[in-house]
Amino acid sequence: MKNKSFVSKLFDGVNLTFLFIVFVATLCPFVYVAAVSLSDPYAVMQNKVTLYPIGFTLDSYKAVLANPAIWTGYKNTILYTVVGTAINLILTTLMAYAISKPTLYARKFFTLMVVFTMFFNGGIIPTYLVVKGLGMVDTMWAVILPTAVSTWNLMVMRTFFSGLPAELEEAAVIDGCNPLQVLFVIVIPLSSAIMVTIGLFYAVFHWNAYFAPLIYLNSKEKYPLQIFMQQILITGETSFNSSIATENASLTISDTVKYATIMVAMLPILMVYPFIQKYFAQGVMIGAVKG
Amino acid sequence: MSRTFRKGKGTRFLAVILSILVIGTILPSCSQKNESKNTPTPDTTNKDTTKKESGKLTEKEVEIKVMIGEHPSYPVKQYQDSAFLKYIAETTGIKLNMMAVPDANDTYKTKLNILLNTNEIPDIIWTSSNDSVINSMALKGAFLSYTDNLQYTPNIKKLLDSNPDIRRSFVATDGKLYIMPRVTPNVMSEIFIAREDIMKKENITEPQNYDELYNMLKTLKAKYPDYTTFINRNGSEHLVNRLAYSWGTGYEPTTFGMYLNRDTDKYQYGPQDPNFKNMVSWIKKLYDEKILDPDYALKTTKQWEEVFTNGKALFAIDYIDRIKTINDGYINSNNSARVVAINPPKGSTGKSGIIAKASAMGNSGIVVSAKTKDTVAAVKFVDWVYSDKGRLATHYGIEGETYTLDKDGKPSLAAQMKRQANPTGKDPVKDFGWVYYMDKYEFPAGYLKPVTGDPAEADNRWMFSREKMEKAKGVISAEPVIGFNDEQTKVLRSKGTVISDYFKQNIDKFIMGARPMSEWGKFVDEVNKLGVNDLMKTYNDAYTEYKKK
Repeated sequence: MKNKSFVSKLFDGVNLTFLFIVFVATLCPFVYVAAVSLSDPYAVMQNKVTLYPIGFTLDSYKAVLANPAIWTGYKNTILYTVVGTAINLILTTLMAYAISKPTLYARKFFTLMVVFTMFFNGGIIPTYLVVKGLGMVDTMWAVILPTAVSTWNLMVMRTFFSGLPAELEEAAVIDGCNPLQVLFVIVIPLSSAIMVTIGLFYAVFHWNAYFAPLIYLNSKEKYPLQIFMQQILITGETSFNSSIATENASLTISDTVKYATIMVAMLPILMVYPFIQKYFAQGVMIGAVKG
Repeated sequence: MSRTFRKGKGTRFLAVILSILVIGTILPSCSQKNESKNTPTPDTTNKDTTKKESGKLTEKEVEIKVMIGEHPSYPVKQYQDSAFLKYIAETTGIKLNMMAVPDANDTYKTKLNILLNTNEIPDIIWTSSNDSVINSMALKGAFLSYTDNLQYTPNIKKLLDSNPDIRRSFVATDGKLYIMPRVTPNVMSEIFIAREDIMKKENITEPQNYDELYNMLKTLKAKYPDYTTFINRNGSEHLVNRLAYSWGTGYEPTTFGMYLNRDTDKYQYGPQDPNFKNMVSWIKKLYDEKILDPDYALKTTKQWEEVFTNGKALFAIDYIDRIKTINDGYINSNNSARVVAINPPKGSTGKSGIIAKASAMGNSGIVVSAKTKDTVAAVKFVDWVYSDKGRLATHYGIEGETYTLDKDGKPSLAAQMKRQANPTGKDPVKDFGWVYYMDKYEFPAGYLKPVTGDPAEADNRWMFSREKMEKAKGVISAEPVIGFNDEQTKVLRSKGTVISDYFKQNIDKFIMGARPMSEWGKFVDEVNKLGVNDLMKTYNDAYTEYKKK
């Protein structure tokens, strides 16, 4: 290895220190949540827990996983995310590719209509009435279809597609491809980076969806995870209702259960991210036009 | 660049498919104009039940859709899974279709707003959540009026007659009652909490007035310098509000500082009273001698709980439920410390006690939609909730299963239910589908007889503290909930907030010494200039109107 100059080493040192501080600052809350979720509730109330569990107990996790609501929420969230992201990607890709072609008839008009919706919105009540009129209220589709194409993601995809070299598509056409084949056989395999990125944006959007399910869904069996999480984490201070049939019931959810809920809801997404990162790197590196 | 692409079979097929899809998405919007598939419209399945049992409210079984808040610890079960809801159907003939919405404040409110604004109102809204919105929509005919249906609701009529404040506080501007509120007959005020074990150890007798209280706290401060002697949360408004009545004055944050003088039956502004200045001086004395927590103005509830759980706080004014939670914490961590209520100290005017909340709670009442198919059944069901049988059911569950009645008709927990002596017993929610939040007419505290003399409860001191405050007549009745017309609301919004903000800015300055007490008179003049007299007049006018209702 070449000997680095002193200034270079100094820069590395400062850089590493700074990054280390950011790393610690980002990691600390997470470690704290993990520690509290594994601790004894009374130790938590006495504020003794810092970065490692005190009074190690898995009771909070048992309580969380025993709650059938969490499982219903998980099942629904995974269903909405998978189906929703698939629909999102298909629709967004088709539209983005079409809009990116300069030869599209009335291209400016379509683009304008799409951009218009980015700035102006009917509001909650008219949107709800439209969804109700289409018969989607209290079904899975109310959560997926109204937001099937996000204009922001659409624009990003369009920019990406228009960045693809036209020579490539011309070459394909010379070889006898029709437009659909160009899209499916040539363009999409080249766009794995953008597809994964946009797919991830949509997936996270669906995973975090809270408001749309809240207003459109009425039956508890269809609620996604976020609604149950909000319910567990933010039970308002109930100043009423002190008459309870059981003797030892308590209204406040202890912090340990709340944090265990957070961990349970967060872990899957956390597990998925490192694997997707690989695709980002791959997608960016692949060059296409040779010679 | 325009080339004719070779149209193969595959292309044509795909093109056709895609165009069909595009047309297919336009079609539904054309055909479905009035048809709406999945709307939760009120459903009435009238099943013929040939036997008409006594006590049933309706001859045929009526299904009613109810929107209710759901606490995460007590999930609501649907009819088919809930023995409790089936029990209700047997006893009343009403089959409840529960639409459970998470009770986190915003969630429930948002959902209710959406439903109200898009005309999808369920048959019964179990928690009104926003009385003023309900009342204004009621004027447009959205909801059923209880006052027009009193012939079907004897229990409600009895309650309204014995408690005229309910009608006065909850009627809409047309004089009709659309909201049947949650009623708690004996509310508890906050209490004066002290460390029983330390008082015993230091041989301290209970203080009877504020001078003795000061001496007690001073002694404790000297003996336990590291502890927070007098701890407070929610800032100076909380402190001033709780102390004011016994000092012969008053301060209510919810009414911008105005309080009702019980002797003259008129509203006045606390800080103008000479006793108010005395109270602030007393608080300041405690602050200067570090008896009052130096962070008193900033402590959050969480910090407050933490200091108490660690055993490092000696005195506070707070809710009675704290006795239970703090002592349970001590019991569970094998700490010999215990907290208990002391008698409310008497002020210079001989008054003592703290003002409790109103017995009829706002924003948590039952509302019936006017579009319900069977309005009589719905309103009879609401009446049932306020009847003796209904109260027992909504509080304690299924008779014979979750609770039993003794020969005097007093309930006690059934032997099979979970409690400290029976940790593997049945849970009312999980095993029987009992619905939390369904009860609207509370029983007096301690109505449920303990099955065995529960030692943990005795150690807990909750009931003891409660009875102590009640015996000392420290629970002062709540101020009435007055309604205002539009002009009055304007005055309140403009002047009220300004006055209350100015007070909040200055009270801490006086207590902490940033402003000397000699400037108190000047401060009172400054506040008066902001329009206290107009505010007072508005309140007194509205109060006179209220009394006439």
